[in-house]
Amino acid sequence: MKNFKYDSLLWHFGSLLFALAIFGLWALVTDLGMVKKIFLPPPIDVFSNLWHGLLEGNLLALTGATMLRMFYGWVLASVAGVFLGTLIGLSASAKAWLTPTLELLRPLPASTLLPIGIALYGLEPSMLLAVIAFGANLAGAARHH
Amino acid sequence: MNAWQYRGWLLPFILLGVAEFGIRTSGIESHGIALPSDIAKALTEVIASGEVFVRTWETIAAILLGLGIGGTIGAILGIFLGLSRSASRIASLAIELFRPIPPVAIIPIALLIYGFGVRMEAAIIAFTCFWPMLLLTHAAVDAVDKQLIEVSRILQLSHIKRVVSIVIPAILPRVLTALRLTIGIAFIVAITTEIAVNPFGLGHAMMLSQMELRPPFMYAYVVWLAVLGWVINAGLLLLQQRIFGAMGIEVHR
Repeated sequence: MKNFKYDSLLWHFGSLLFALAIFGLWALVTDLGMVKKIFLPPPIDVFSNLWHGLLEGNLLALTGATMLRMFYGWVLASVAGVFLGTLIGLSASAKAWLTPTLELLRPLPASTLLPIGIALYGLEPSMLLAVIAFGANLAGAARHH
Repeated sequence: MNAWQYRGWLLPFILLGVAEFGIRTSGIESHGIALPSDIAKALTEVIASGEVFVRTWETIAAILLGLGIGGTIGAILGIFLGLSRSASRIASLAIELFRPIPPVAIIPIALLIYGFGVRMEAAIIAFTCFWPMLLLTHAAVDAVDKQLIEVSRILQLSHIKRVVSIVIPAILPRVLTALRLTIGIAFIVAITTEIAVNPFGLGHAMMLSQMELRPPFMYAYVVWLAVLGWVINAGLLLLQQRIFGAMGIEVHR
């Protein structure tokens, strides 16, 4: 039993080494200048930026905001899904009436709602923020290098 | 079998009728809604001009290209990891690290490398398709009857021969299921990429209609996308049943 545990630990270590080797390869490729830095910055730059963003930037706040929106969406979808699911499960007639409509809507990519949402509600502050953040990111990346 | 069992198909038309009546009587003017009759007119217009088919082909081409590259690499690696326990143990952490990256999160990277067009979209779709094909093919190889592998060992087949004549036929049904699921995901990611940034395909055509303040055309594309998604899924299911039906019988003999 002890031997087995040791064996599995060794495999975990090997798997960690392999993951590190990928980052090593990434560092090597960027160090040798095989890829332009603007396309693929070295891992150290990336992780120091990540660290900086977490400690001094607003990365944590943004993560929180994203998670919160995710949570609201999830709650809303769950309530509606459980309600419709129960209805369909309980009543054969509800199933016959609703299934085709749901089957038509199901393969529709959720992102198709994006243009509709913009048309109906305009750009929400949060949406505007995402657009600005995207543009600022590109500008920042260009300035950085 | 009577017509009443298809009564559910009436519901979309009933809802559209209610919307038509509601908008007409209330006299709402908005850039966000459109009369169902105007949407139908817009849809016939883009079908008649062939516009919708050009855009559909752009989206489908990006999906096929991405799926061909990412899916094939994923399936090959999946077979390899399925056959080699050591390799799958070694790669497990790396896979768990990179797999959760949302495909849309690499849109900026793909945009930086390829610019706008089919190549950046295909790259994102390839990244998307790689993971499910890798994991599902891996699982499919795991599920192959161990006796089959033993037979190949007894026959002293070479590695390549073992994969081609024993493993691939055995995993084919499961790989087809994987392919069906993967195409569904690829479709979603393709449309999302087009709506978000890429001026290409159906997603962009829809976004453009919104920006031109032509809601009937925007909704016409939504209807088209719903029908297209449904047809793709139903078509793949049918194809799978066709191929499977024959294969299932062969296996059970």
